[in-house]
Formats: sequence, C-alpha cells, structure tokens
Amino acid sequence: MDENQQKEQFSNAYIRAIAATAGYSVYKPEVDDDSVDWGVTARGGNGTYKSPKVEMQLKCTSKDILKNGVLSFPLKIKNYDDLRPDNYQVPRILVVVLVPGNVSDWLLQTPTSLALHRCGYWVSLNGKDQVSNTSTVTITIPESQMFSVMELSKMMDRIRQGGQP
Amino acid sequence: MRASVRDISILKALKPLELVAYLRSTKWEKECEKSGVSSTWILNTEKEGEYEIALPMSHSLRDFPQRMADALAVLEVVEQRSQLDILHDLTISSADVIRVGLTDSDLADGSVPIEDGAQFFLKAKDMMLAAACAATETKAYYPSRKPSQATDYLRKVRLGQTEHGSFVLTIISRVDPALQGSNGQIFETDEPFERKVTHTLASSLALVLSAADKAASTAEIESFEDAVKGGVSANLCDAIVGMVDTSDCTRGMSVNFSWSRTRPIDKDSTVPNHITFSPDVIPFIKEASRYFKNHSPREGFELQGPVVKLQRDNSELSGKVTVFGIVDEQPRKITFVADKEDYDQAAKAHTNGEIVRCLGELEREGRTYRLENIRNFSVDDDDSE
Repeated sequence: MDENQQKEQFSNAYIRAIAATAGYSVYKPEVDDDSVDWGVTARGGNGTYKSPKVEMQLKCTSKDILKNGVLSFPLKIKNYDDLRPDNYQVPRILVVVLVPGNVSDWLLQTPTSLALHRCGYWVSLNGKDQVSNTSTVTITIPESQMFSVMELSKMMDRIRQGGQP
Repeated sequence: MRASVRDISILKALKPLELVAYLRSTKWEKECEKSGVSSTWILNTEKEGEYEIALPMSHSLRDFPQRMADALAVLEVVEQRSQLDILHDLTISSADVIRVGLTDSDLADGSVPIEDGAQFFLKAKDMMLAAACAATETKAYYPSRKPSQATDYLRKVRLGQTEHGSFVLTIISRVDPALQGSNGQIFETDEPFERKVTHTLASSLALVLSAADKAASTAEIESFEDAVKGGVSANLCDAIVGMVDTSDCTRGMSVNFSWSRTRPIDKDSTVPNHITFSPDVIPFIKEASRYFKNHSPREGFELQGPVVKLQRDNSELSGKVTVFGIVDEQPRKITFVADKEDYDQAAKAHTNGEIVRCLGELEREGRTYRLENIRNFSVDDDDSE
C-alpha cells in the first residue's frame, strides 16, 4: 500500500470511529459520486438509513497546513464545484484529516488507550461563489471546526431541524 | 435475486409523484414536507420498527438520483424483493397493466417463433382497439372505421418489456389518479375512458370465455350474441384467435390485469383480474367471429341490381322492394323499405328492366338480407342508351 492509500484508509477509520461514538452509521454512496466518500446517517427499521444524513468529501494530508488557527487546504475545483451548490437534499461537507509526516506517529496504542494522530476538521461550502480558478481552490477552515464526536452530534441535530451542517 | 439500481438515467427518470402514490398505496404515511425539496414518509412495523424514506420532490435537486437510490434501498428491505421488481412497479403505479401470456410447451424457454411473435404483438394491439371501440359503443362488429375516441386512446397505450414465464407481453394503459373529497369519498363517479377500456376488456374477455363454454355445450351461437352488449365483438374474437392461432392448436393464452395503484378498483367490483383461454375454446371463438361478421350491419353498403319483387298494401304509402344484388361476390336478394317516391321509381325501373342503386346498412337475418336507412336512391338509365 502506498502512503496515499494509507492516508485514505486511516482517515476512513477516523470517520468511522467518530461516527460510531456519536451513535451514527457511515455508508458508501449507492450511486457513484466523485465528491462523496462517505455518508453519515441514523438507522431506522431493520438497519435501513434514515435522516438526519450528511455526506462528505474526505481528504487527508500530512502537510503543515494549520497556521494561526486556520487550515488552508487546496481543493480540486471539481470537488469545490460539487460541494458548493445549495440544492442538495442531503447536505455536504468537506472533512480534512491532518496526520503527522511520519506514518509511525499516526497511531499510538497503550494497554489503556488507542490514540489517532492528529485531527480532522470540517467545513460546509454550501452556497459558496463560483471561482475562475482552473485547478484548485484554497479552502480555509477555522481550527474550531474540529470533526469531533460532539461537533458531529450537534451538526446532525441542526440537520434534523432542517438546518445546514 | 437482489440487484441494486445504480443507473443514474433510470433513477433520474423516476417521478416523485408516482413514488408518493406508490408509498400511499403501500401504507406509508407522510410525516413532514419541505416544500419543493423533499417529503418524509414513515412506515411503522411492529416487528422491525420504523422505516423512513426522505423522498426528493424535485428533479432539480443535484442529488436526486442518489436520494431515489436511497428510497429504493429502503423499499428493498421493507418489501423483501429486488429493486428491479420494485422499480418496475413504480413506473407503472399509475397505470392499468395487462399481461398477456401465451401458454404452450413449445414456449417454455421464454422464446417464441418470430412469425408468431410478430402476430402476437399485432393482435394485442387489435385487442386493445376492440376494447376501446366497445367502451365507446358496443357492437357485434367494427368493420373499418373506428370511433375516434378509441383510436385516440390507442395512441396512448404503451408496450412494456416482455416478461418471462412462457412468453408474456405487458400492455400499459395509464390512467389518471383518483382524488378523494374532504369526506374521504372518491371525488368522481364516472370512470375515465382509459379505465372504462381496461374494465371493458377484462369483462368482455371473461364473457367470451363463458360464451365459448356455453356454445360448446349447446352448439348454439346465442351465448355470443348475448355477450355483445358486454363488449364482445368479432374484432375481439379475432384478436384472441390471432394471438394463439397455430397449425397444431396447442396454444392457450392467459390475461392478467393489475389495476393502477393510484385509482384502485372498487372492493365490490366483479371485474375479473385473470382470464385463461385453453386451446379447446379457440375454435368456438373463431366461429363466433365469423358469425358476427356475417350478421352485423354493414355500414355504407352500396346496393345495385334489378328490382325482382315489389310489395305494397296501399299505393299512398311506402312498400317493400327486393333487389337482386351482390353481397360478398355472391348474388343475393336484398329487401328494403322504400318511401312512396322511391317505391314508385323502383316500380317504374322494374317495368323498364332498369338497374336501381342506393346506399344503406346491410343486415343479415337468417338467410335473407335487409338494407336499412336507405339513401341516395336512383335509377340507372344506362341501359336505355
């Protein structure tokens, strides 16, 4: 497995861990979509999915993109254009997971804990303007928008009430 | 087989209101609605708990196909059947569907000889047209010109994919959904024409079958004659015969009706859902068709020939004129009632050995022919040249 695949798998595990702890399931979209890696959902009868739901594009980087309380992530224009429209029935977010440069530092396990390093952050691009960039758009995410159990729970509550993530 | 539908074009083609109708008809209840975006439907089951479908209500939603796929995935679990089957039912939830299946050991592998197949499709169309004609006005025979309401209807009828199980043709007849008044009663009392046609077809096929059974035991045509007012015609009989006719007479046919979910039929309705024709009834149906054609009035029949008999009690009134004319390339005596003026002319033509012409509806009564509704009476004086 090359390091990019490792990052992808590691960030998948991160999302699963957060969602499971918050009491939600994750799913892969039934229909191919370049800009949705995971959906997070509540479960209904017989394990079927039910609202609230949120769908996400998941990115993972070991670059040092967190400066002065803000992450600056270069997102491909195609993904940007797929995430910013405001006419999705299920809202979409971007999640960026930061990992240390050294793979051996990603995970720390002791007999009493399992720690994943470092952290994921989320942002909604809903309603953002079209840009003239041709390859990437730099997305800024405040450090406060951690993709944590508590943040995910609050986000799902907002969506349940008909609001945005 | 469990197969998921992931084809975006198929998912995009689904119609939200048809899904709504489907959910309503399968006991789902609407919980809430985000106008123009989505509506949330709930199904409570005792065993498995609560199911939810958040249905996209507008094709302009960018994730419309994904959300439809979600809905199908839930229905698959709820109904314990393949998404393909559910999809099929969804696309026809607001239509009456008629499945016509041929039964013959020869067709067990689901294929049909190409010549028979072509004939089958063609005659299925004739069957729909015969039912549409009967829904307009019942007659024993519709010779050439069909009521425009019937031909208009036929343009809207569609063929679905054929299905397995010998060889099964699906005919889709869309029908507008029924609406309820505030008291929960169905709004209209009169059925739309599309539904009249499918009902007429179902009941007239059942009548053909029972008439054929009766004719087999009595060797009389009466049962078929009685069935005309129920929608049976020579055209319907021809269509049935045409669908199953093979040289070895081993083929039968079954016709199944499933009624639109959005216009459910009355619980007390006596309209049959399933009619099966075994190969042995086919010859009776064939004969009934021949009889109907021979005995049905022929509109716009042009009679010409010499006058061979005149009969009138009072010279001031109309009288009966018999002309020696040609019917189906055979010389026949045809009688009609002529008014005083026409009668006088006919008498003169008789004396002078002249040919008379007129138009009317030709009817057969036993071995004699009658012309009704006489018009354009004239005497041909070509012979006097």
